[in-house]
Amino acid sequence: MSSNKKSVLPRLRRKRVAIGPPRPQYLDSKDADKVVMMLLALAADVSALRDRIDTHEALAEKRAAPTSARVEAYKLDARRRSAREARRHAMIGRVLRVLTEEVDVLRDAKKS
Amino acid sequence: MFQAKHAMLPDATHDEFAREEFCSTLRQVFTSELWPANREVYDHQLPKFVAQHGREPGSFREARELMNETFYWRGTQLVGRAVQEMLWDTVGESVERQLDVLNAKAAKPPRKPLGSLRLNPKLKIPKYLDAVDIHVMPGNFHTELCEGDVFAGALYDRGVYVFSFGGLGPYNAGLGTTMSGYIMSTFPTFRPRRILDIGCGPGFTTTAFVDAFPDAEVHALDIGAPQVRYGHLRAESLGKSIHFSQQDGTNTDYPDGHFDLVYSCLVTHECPVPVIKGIFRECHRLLKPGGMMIHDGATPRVKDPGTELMTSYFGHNINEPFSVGMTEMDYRKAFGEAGFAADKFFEGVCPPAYLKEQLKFVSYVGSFKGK
Repeated sequence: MSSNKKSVLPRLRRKRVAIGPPRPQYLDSKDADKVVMMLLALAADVSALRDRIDTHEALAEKRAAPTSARVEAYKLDARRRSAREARRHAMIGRVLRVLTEEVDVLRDAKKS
Repeated sequence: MFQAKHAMLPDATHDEFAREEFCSTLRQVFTSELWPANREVYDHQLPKFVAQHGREPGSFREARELMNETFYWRGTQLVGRAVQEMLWDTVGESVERQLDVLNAKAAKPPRKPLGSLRLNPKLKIPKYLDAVDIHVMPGNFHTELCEGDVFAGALYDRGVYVFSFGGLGPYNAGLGTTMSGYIMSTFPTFRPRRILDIGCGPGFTTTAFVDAFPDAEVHALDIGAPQVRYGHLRAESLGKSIHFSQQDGTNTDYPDGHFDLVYSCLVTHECPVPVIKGIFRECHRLLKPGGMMIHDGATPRVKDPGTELMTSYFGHNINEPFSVGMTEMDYRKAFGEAGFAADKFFEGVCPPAYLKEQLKFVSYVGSFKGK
């Protein structure tokens, strides 16, 4: 019995690790401070993006298309600002969880 | 609460404002939550130290070493420093974008000015001001980016609002309001006719004294031209009459006995001890007999190393190298050396206008020029 069908080998997965000398070690332990500073600067930009989305939502609620000009001209009111503030606060809490867990553990231990 | 607008206040694009707000929130989290919790971590660490040494830490250094074992202590300090650097960079980027517009506004003198502005391009900037950027604010208070520049004034006015997360009020006037309020309540019959603010920055403390003593002629000096240029137009825009000049507070050009009240707000702790003493001597020269000098005092030195550690953040993390010298200053002695009589010395405390979680109270020291 013969078949015209070519036998299909299972496809290999793409390689994700290059062969060669070990990956160089770039950062020093004292670089960690700078990395955290860069991370917090990035968090500021993420937060700014979140605020910009909120401005889009505010404009949409007024049935206004969120053009660049409308976003720039948008007048933030106190209610919306404090909602943003609460959201930022929660975001910072999540970003810094690994730092604050030391205190969280202490407080939990005190309670129990 | 938004920062109150005036003609010189930098504006912000949507995203600049959003990043500034992030810095404010992070500053608030740091000040109100992260930093104070170090006390709990310290109390938790104490038994370990006691078990090892048979006593509690006896010095600031021992207390710090004990806390350095914890990621929490190291990490919170890093967050505090990071946001301090970020806030100047964030506000600085925004001010720099619009600097040509701000400088053009500053170049136009008001038509009917309430106050005045005197600049001294020949003024020598003392070395200590170029040696360290106070508060890690790049360029310090005096650097000029071009002729007629207001950058450092605008940066400080907006930056302080972000730093204090609005805690000094919409006009950043909190410290001036607290100090003038202390003077009025402690010395109710004292009515200064001519007042001088030494180290006025953008003048947001000075305006509080204009409000507190509406009949007085109010003068304000700063060594930084960008501060007084900005401060002058800021005050004019707010309808406050203030006479600004660019001068060194240890060596001014006012005549002897020219003022009834000379004060400084958050200035002396940024100065080396010889400069602080120079300011006290100049105050004595400038005051009329019966005139008052008042400055904010240091947070009194505490004996408990743990408490000392908890109040040490600013001195050790954000370029305030001179604050230790001020903390250790013997005011009675220093005032005496400046010419003030020992029996005229006064000191007092009142609740802080801001940073309530970090400071239990603010302190004042002062004296009257003897007749």
